[in-house]
Amino acid sequence: MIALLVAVPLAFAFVTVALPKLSKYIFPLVALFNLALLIGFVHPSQVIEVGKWPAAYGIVLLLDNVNYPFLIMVNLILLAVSISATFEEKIGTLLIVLTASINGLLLTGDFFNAYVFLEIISAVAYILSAQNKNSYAAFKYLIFGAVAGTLYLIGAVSMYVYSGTLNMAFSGYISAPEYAQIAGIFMLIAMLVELKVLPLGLWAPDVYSNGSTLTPVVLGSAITLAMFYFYSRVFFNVLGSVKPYLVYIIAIISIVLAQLAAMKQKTLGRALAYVAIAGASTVLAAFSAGAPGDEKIISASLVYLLNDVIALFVLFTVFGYLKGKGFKDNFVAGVAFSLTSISLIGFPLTTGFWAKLNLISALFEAGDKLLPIFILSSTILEAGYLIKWNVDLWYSEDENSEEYVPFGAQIVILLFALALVVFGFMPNLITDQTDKIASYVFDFSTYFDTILKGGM
Amino acid sequence: MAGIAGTVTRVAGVLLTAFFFGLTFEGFGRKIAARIQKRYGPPWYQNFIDVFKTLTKHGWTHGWIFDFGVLMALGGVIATLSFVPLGNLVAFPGLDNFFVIAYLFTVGALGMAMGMVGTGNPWASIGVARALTLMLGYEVPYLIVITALMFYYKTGNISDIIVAQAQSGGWNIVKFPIGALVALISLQGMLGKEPFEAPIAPAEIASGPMVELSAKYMGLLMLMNTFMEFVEISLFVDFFLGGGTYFVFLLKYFIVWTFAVMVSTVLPRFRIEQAVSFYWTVPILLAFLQAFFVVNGWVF
Amino acid sequence: MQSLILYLGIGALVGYFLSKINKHLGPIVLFVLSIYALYVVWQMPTGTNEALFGFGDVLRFTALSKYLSIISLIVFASFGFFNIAWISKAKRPAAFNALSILTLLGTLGVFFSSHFIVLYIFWEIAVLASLFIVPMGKEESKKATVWYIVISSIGTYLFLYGIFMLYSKYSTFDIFEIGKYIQNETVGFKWAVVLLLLAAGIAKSGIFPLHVWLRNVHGNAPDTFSAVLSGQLVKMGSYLIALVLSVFPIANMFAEFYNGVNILSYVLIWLGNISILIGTLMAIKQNDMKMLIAYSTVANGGYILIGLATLHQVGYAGGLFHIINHALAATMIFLSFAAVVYRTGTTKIDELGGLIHRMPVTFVTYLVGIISLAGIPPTSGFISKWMIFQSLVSKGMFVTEMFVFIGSIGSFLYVFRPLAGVFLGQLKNKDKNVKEAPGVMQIPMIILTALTVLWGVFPQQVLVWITDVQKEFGMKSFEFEGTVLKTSMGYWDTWTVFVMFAVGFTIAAVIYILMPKGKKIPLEDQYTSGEFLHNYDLYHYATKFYVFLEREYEGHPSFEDWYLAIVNAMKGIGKFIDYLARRTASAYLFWTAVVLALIMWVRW
Repeated sequence: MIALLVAVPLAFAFVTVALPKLSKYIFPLVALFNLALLIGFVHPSQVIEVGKWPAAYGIVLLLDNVNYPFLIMVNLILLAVSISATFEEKIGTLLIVLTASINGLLLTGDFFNAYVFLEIISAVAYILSAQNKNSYAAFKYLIFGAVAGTLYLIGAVSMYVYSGTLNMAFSGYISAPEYAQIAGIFMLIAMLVELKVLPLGLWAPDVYSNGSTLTPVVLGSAITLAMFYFYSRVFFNVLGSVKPYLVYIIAIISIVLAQLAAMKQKTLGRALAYVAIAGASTVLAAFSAGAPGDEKIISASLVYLLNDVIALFVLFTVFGYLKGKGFKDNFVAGVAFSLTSISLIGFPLTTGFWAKLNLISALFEAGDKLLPIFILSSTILEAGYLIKWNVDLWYSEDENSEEYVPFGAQIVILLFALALVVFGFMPNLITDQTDKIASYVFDFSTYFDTILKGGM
Repeated sequence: MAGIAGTVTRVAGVLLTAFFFGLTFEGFGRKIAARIQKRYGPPWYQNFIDVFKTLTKHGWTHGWIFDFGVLMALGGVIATLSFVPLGNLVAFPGLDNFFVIAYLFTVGALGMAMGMVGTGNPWASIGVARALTLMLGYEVPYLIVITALMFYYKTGNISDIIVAQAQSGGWNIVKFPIGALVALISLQGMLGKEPFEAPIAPAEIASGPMVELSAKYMGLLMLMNTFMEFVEISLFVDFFLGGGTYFVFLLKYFIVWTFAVMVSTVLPRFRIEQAVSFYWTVPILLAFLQAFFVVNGWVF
Repeated sequence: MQSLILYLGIGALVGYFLSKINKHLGPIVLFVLSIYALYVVWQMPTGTNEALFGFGDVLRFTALSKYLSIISLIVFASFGFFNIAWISKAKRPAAFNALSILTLLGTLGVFFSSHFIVLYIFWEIAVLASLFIVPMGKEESKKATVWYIVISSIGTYLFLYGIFMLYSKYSTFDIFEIGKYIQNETVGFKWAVVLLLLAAGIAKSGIFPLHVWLRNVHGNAPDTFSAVLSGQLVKMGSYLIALVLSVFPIANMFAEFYNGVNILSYVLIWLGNISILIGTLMAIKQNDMKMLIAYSTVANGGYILIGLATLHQVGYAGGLFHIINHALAATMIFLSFAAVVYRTGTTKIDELGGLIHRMPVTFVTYLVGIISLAGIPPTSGFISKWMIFQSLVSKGMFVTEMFVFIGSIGSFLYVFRPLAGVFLGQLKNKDKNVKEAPGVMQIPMIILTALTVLWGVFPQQVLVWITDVQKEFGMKSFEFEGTVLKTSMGYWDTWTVFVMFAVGFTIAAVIYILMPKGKKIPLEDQYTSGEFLHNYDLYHYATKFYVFLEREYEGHPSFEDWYLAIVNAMKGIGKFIDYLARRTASAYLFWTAVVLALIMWVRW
C-alpha cells in the first residue's frame, strides 16, 4: 500500500504529460490522495519488499514512526503549494514527479534507491530554480548539486563494497564503525549542500531570491524537511553520527555568517534566503550538540524545524506575490507575514517561542552553554531586520500596487500563520509528536527488526 | 496655642529682620561701593525709599503669568526665609534641614524665571537662560562642600551644625578652610555680583530678567532680591562662622556682605561660559579636595 | 490576578472590534478596564499566590507588585481617558487601541509573576505590543522601532540566558526559591547571573550603556503613547531591578566596597551616574520637546537605579518613591505635549511660543510636571530627591553626589527650555487662533496635577506602600510619622513647608493687592531698545537656548554613532558573505573541496 504513495503520483505525472491543462488540478488531487492514504489507511510499521526480493538483496520501502509524521507534513505542504503557488502547466508535471520522489526518499530503506530519488528531486529542483529567468543561479546550483550527488554516490558505493548489500539497515549493521564513518563523510557533504549550510549553501541566496512563488517555497519547505529526515535516518539511526563536533562548529559559523549577511540585504527575497540558511544551520547545530542520543534536543530541534519550514512557506509566498510592495491593500497577507515573522523570531506565544525555549532548555540540560549564546545572538539580529521589514512593509508609501495575493494563497498562508499561533498556545500538540519521533530515531534495533521481519 | 503664637512671633521676627536689616545693609553696601569708586553715594536708607517709591507707582503687566510669577517668587523666598536660622533665632526648630531650604529656594527662582519670561521679552529669556546656566556652575561645588560638612557632623539640620561649632569652640571656616573658600566663591555667584553678573548684565541685555519690570512689580522683586541675599549669606554665616546670638549674627552678616560688595566693585564681568568653565574646574576640584579631607578625617 | 489578565486579554479583542465601529470606543474600554483593575489591585492583600491558566503557583502578589501595578494603572487610566479625544489623530486607531490594552496586560503580568519564564513571556508581550504602536508616530519612528527591538532583545536574551543558567543549577524557575539558594555559589557565577538578569532591567529603563534607543523611540512615538513608554514601560525595567536587588541577598552576596555599599551596588550606581550625566547634558541640547523629555527619562532612570542600588533604608525608599514621581511627571508632561501637538501640529520648540495665552490648563499641567521633575517642594518630586540625597550624604558618596546634583540642577535647565520656548514668550502669528485642549483631555491632566501636589504635601499613602515593600523584603523600613519624614541625619515636615509656602504667598499677595493695580498691555508692547518691529514672531528667544553651555561639551562622543558603527561593521561582513554567494560555480566547488578536506583532516 505504501508503494502507492510513489506509484500514484508517477502515474498521474504521465497523465499530465498528455493532458497538460489538467496538471493544475491533478497535482492537488494527488497530494490529497496521499494524505488520505496516510491518515486513513496506512499506519506504522509497514515494510514492502519490492519484487519480493528479501531485504538484503532488494529494495525495501518502509514506513515507521520516524518517517510517518514527516510524510504527512511533506504531503500537506505540497498540497498547500498546489493551492497557493502560481505556476505554468509544464511545471505541474514536474511537481507531481517531485511528490513521487520525495515520498520515495522518505520511504526508502536502500542507499542506492535513495540516490535515485535524490537525483530526481535535484533535477526538479534545478528546473524550478530556473523560473523567473534565474538561469545562471540554477546553473550554479546544478553544478554544485551534481558534485554533491556524486559524493553521495561514492559514499553509498563504499558501503556496498564493504558490506555487500545496499540495504541501509543491513549495511549499517555489518559495517565496522570506522568504515561507516569514512563513507558517511561523503554522504554528509552531499547533505550539507542540500541543507544549505554555509559555505556549501552559497547557492541558496541566488536560487531562493528569484521571486517565484514556487521555488523557494518548495525548496525551502518540502525539500528541506525531506533532507532533514534523511539526515536523521542515516546519521542517527543507521550509521551513527559522523564528526558531530565539526558539524557543530561549521553550523554555528554558518548561523553567524548567514544572519550577518541577512542584515545587509536590500531585497526581501535574499534576506529570507539567508534566514532559511540560518534556520537550517541552527537545526543542524542542534542535531550535533550534546551527547549522541539526546532525545530532548532532537525533539526541540524538530519543533524548531517545523516552525522554520512553515514560517518560510508563508514568508516566501507573500514575497513572491507582493514582490516587496506594501501591505496597505493586502491586509490578510500582511497579518500572515507579521504573525509568522513573530513566530520565527520566537516571541511568545507562538510555536517558535516554544521551539527556542525547549531547545535552549534541553541544551542547558545537556551541558552545552555555547550554542544557546549563538541562538540568542542570532535571534537579536533576526528580530532587528525582520521587524524592520515588517515596519517598512506595513507603513510603506507606495501607490496602489498591482500586485495582490490570490484568494487560495491567502487562505493557505492565513491558516498556516494561525496554526503557528494556535500551537503556540497549545504546544503539546506538536511536542508530543516530536518526542515520539525523537524516541524512535535513535532506536536502531527496532528499525532493524522491522526490516528483518518484514513489517510485523 | 503657645506653640503657634511662639512660632508666629519667631517667623515675624525673622522676616522683619530680613526686611529691615537687609535693606539697611544694602544701603551700606551702596555707600561702600561708592566710596571705593571715589563717589559719595546715596544715603544708607536709600533702598527703603526705592522700595516704597516703586510699590506706590502705577505700572503695567503682560498677563496673569507675570503677576503669578512675581507672587510665586516673593512667596517662595519668604517661605524659604522662614526656615533659615539666623544664628540662635530659629523659627522652626528641628525643621531647618539644608536640602529643604536649598530646594525651597528654587521655588522663588522658578517663579521669578517664569514670570519674567512670561512678559514675552526675549532679553528676559536670555537672562534667565544665563542665570540657570550659572546656577549649574555654582551650586555643584557649593553642595559638595556643604554635604561634606553634613557628613562630618552626621546631620542635615543647620542649627545642629551651629551648636556643634559652639561646642567645639572653633568656627568651621577654620576647620574647613578650603570648603569655606569654595563657599565664598559660590556665594559671589549666588548673589549675582561681579564677576558673575552675566545673567543681569545691565548694559548688555537690558538687565536681563528685569527688563519689563515697573512699579510694584519692581518693588516686589527688589524685596525678593533682598530676601534672597539674606538667605544666602545667612547660610554661609551659619555654616562657617558659627551663627551666634542676634546682634553677633548681624555683625558677621555685615562683614561677609561688605566683603562681597568690595570684591564686586573691583572685578569685571565674566562671560557666562567663562564663568561656568571656571566653576567647573577650580572650585569643584577644591570641593572634592575638601570632601577627601573630611572622609579621611583631616580637619583642623 | 488571573481574572484581571483574562479580562484584559478579552478587552483587547473587544477594544479592537469596537474601535472599528467608532474609534472613540476603544479608549473607553481601556479606561474602564484600568479603573476596574486599579480598584481590584488597591484592595488586594499582598502575599497571595495564584495559578495562571492551569499552571500552578506562578503568580504572586507582593507589595512591590501592588505598588507598581497601582502606578501603572494610574498612568494607563489617564492615558485611556486622554485618548478618548486624542484618538481622532491616530493613524490606525483600532490597532492602537488593541495594542495599548495588550501592553497593559503584559506589564501587569510581569508584576504578578513569580516564575521566571512566565515573567519573560509577559515581558515579551508588553514589548511586542508596544513595538507595533511605535511606528504609528512620525516618519522617523520606523528606524526608532528597530533600535527599540534590538536593544530590548539584547537585554531580554541576556536575561533569558541567566534564567537558564540558574535553572540548570537549581531546576526551578521560581524567583523566590532561587533567592534562598544563590548565596552559596562561586563569585563568578553570582556576578554573571546577577548581571545577566539585571541586563533586561537596564535595557528597558534606559540606563547607560543601553540608553540609545530612548530618544528616538520616545521622541517619535505617537504622542500619547510616549507618556506610556516614558511613564510606565521603563518602570517595568525598574521593577525588575528592584526585584532582583531585593529578592537576591545582594548585600551578602558581594563584598563590601565603600562605607557599607557592596561592589555590585557600586557598579550599578556608577552606571546610574553616567546615565544621569548623559541624560542631562543631552537633554539641554535638544530642540524637539519630546526628545528632550525622553533624555530626561534616561537621567531619571539613573536616579531610580542609584536609589535602589544603595540598598539603604532611606535610599531604597527614595528610589521607589522616585518611580512614582517620575511616572506621574512624565505622564503629565507628555500628555501636555500631546495636547500642544494636537492643536498646533509641531513638536519643535523654536516653532512655538506664547501658548500660555491660549492653553492655560495645559501650561499648568506642564508646570507642575516640571516642578515635580526638578524636585521642588511642595510637589512629591522633592521628597524622593531629598531621600536619595540624604542617603548618599550619610554614606559619604561625594562623587555620586556630584552627578546627582548635576542631574538635579541640570533638570531645571532643560525643563525650563520648553517652558520658555513653547508656553512663554511671543505667540506666533500662525498660532493666534489655537484653542485650549478639549475638556476630555484636560480632565486627566488636572487630576494628575492634583495627585502630584497632594502626595507632595501628604505622602503618607505612598510611604505606606513603600514601607510595605521594604518590610516584605526584610529591609529596615523608612521612618515617618504623619507628615514628618525622618532619617538618621535629620528630618522635616511636609505639611509645615506647604503651610509656610502658602503663608509666604499670602504675604506677597497682600502687598500686591494693597498696591496700585498694573495696566494690562498686549504682548507686543515690549522694550525693544528703540527699534520698531514688524514681525514679533522673531522676537522670541528659543533657538539654541543654551548654546553657551553647549559649546562647552560640543565635541562629545555619541553613543548612537558608536552603536551604528558596530552595526555597519557587521553589515560589512555580511556584504562579504553575499559577495561570495555571487561567485561562479567553480567557486562553489572550491568550497566543497575545502569542506571535504577539512572534515577528512580534522581528527575530531
